[in-house]
Amino acid sequence: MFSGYRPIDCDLHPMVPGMKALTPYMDAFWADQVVERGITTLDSQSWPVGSPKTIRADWRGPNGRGAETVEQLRAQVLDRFGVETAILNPLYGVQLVLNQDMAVAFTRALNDWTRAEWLDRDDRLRASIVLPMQSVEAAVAEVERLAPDRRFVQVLALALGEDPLGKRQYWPIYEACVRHGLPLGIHAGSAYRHPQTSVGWTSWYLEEYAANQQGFQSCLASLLTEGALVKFPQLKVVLLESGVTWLPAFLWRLQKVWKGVRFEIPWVDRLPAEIIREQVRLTVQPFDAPAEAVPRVLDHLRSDRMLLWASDWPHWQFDGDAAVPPGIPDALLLKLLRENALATYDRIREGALA
Amino acid sequence: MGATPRPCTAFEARQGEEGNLLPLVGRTAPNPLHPFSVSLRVAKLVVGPVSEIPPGGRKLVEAEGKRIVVFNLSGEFFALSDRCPHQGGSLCAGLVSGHVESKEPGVYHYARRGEMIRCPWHYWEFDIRTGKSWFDPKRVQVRQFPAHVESGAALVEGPYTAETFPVRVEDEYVVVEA
Amino acid sequence: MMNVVQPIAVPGKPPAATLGLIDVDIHPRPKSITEFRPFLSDRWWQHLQSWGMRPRHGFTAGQPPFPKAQPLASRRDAWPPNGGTPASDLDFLRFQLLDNYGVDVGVLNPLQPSGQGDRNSAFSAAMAHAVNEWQLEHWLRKEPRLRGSIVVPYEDPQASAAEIRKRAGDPNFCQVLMMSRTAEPCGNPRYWPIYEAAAEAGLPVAFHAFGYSGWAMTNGGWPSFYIEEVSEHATSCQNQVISLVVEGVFERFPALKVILIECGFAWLPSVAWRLDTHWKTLKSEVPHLTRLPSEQIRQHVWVSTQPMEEPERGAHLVDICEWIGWDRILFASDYPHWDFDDPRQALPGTIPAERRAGIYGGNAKALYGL
Repeated sequence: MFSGYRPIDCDLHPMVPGMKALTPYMDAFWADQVVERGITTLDSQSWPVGSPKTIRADWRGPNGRGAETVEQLRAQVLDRFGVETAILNPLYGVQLVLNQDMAVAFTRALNDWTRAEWLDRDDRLRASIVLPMQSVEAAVAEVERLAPDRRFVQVLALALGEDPLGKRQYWPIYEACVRHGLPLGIHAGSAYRHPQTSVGWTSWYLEEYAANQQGFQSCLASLLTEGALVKFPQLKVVLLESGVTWLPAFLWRLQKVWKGVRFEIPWVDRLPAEIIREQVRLTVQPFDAPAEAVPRVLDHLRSDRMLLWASDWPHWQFDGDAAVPPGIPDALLLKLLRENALATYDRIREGALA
Repeated sequence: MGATPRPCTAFEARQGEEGNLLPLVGRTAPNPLHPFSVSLRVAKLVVGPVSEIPPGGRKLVEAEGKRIVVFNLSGEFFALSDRCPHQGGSLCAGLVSGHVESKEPGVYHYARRGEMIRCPWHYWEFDIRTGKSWFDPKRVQVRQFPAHVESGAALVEGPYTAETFPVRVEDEYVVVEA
Repeated sequence: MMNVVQPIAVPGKPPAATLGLIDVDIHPRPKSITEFRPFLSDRWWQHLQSWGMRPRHGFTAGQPPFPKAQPLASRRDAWPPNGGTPASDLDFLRFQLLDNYGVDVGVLNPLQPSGQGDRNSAFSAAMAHAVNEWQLEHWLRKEPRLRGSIVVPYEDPQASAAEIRKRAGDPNFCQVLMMSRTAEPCGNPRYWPIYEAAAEAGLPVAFHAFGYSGWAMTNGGWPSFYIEEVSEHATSCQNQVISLVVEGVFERFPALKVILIECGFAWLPSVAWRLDTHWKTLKSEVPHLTRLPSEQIRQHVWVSTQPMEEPERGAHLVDICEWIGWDRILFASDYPHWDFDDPRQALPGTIPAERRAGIYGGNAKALYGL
């Protein structure tokens, strides 16, 4: 499998079984609040537990849930695919919480849970620092709190948040990312501050899932136009579970308009596509294209450095062991499976060299 | 060549009259290597009296199948092809504005007011002094023609009247080599 | 060489437009709002005078939330010499567009002021009616090369259907016009009366990029810049295509034809692939979908050129056209707007000669039955 390469898996999702699992990582007040107010779960509509997309059928446990234990992870991905390093991106709905203080308490608990229940149990594991985006100050504090642990290799925000991610109020977070060598991970999913589309609420989950593709475009447009990428040229942005194939057309449109109205954003003083190719990376599960179109889509990307492999465990993106999207040429495998990830994640690179 | 109704003056009233026939004087000799090549022939076009294009003004002229727009930037004259290299929009009809740059996001350094021309279609901006586009100055350029001021006396050896307006020895004229 | 001075272009259509030149995106405006007066009741005229139009954003007097790049988003050379706003003067439109480029058929898409998407549905319906009468009176009866769009008050689908039925069979109108930013995703069953009436009348439904849904312009909040607003038209339209497919609109109305105007189009293959990919894992949710989404899009959706995405390599656009289908691409100039495309220059050199005639005219002829 993987032509003998030991892959770096850039997107896996341990699932929190319920709020009871997090209370040991809260102070007494919040732990009691969880119990006294009946906060049983923060599972998000972005990932309905019963949805076949959320947990692949053969990865689902007898209790109907999945991705609950390190043993499952080892059997289903780490050992199965010979993974060298795997990055955990918890998607529990802490970013949906409206009370800022509660959000910070729950997010800290989530990150501590990830560290204790996962990172401490398998050396191959790394994780993202889930950010309490409800408060920029708290998000920076959370980065500062966890960054000394080198097993945290990036920070994590949702694609569909409260404000577009390029907005300047978020910049202290990016400053902290650069300071600590942490890429900004942006994962599919919504904080439900807005409908899943700019034209209102969707009826079906399929629509909602598809709409993440639009959210990623808006995120990138914002990071570029507001000047975040220009201000922080060392910042790497990793788009997780974005579908990938939307990117070229997005760049062609944005760059075309920029030629005419760049006066509005004069800090973007070179081709937007170049900036984005240098600083943005994307994981390839899913890769929304039929196999026969993949080589041409790759040509449209005009870069072989942008794509990172991921299993997206336990989401159902592929069957059996077909973990590399069909159509990806063998010549790209080494970069896709390893080199691009090592170039993106300073902290994984230093581990690999150690 | 007949004067074509040209819409660009409707919006920018200060633009020069368009469709003027150009007096051609001091025509240089054809290139001996390409005696019939129009493209290599350089003609001296008298655009008009200096007073006709005040600072900040512009004038569109047509000659020999070329449309040229002449700008006055604080007394210096610059001539560009009127044709945007993108899709051929008439630059004469575009907005003249300044140039904004930025050292960092949120900081606008606005300078060179009146020295950038924006095509009315798609809004690409070109430097009037060089014809270069801002976003790709090496590859996307408007053709520039040398422009300067000559006295009527220098233009006219002896009494001479151009086809569309008289050249007077005591006046100064904008001349373009096209 | 990009900087060679070309001879002055003589009027005429692109040589490759051997099947005619059909411009599917022209935006007429009234010289002043009083042109609508004869077609509005006293009650709604008074309403318009007192309250103006009230789209789903905060500004009045037609001021958009994101200021345009140029006044009225128009070419600076499109202001008629005799006064008035761009594309408000038929003679000047003939001179600058129809005659200049040899346009055989031009499709009018009246944008604001049209009352579409107004918060007051009854007013929106009265305005739509007035705009349609105005198209007939000021444009369509005077210029045989022009066709109108049936402007509908789409947030009131029943009133929209009534307006469509009123115009059905009138050869002056060739399509139904909606804006791309509706208040709910346009595949939502509440809009189905519009599609039913359009399909019944044999008219395509055109979604033109624009309008205000009332929601943030991205699904992650409000952007800051006009460049984002313009780019986000693509994302809004992507959501609309997704909604039309997933809600089952094309399954319910097999004769329905949808045109995406000024939405860009290079994104369409990716959207179709995404739906195909994830339909396979989420089929159990949407048993009403029996056909592959990409097939539905291929069959029911047309796109227009302007603003065509500009890849760094022209060949990449050819890939996109092949994936969408060469017979689904219609030429649009977007006259008189600032990002107008010259018919003779708009198609990049990489578009094969044999495909150009279809884009310029053949595809639109077949679609509209001209």
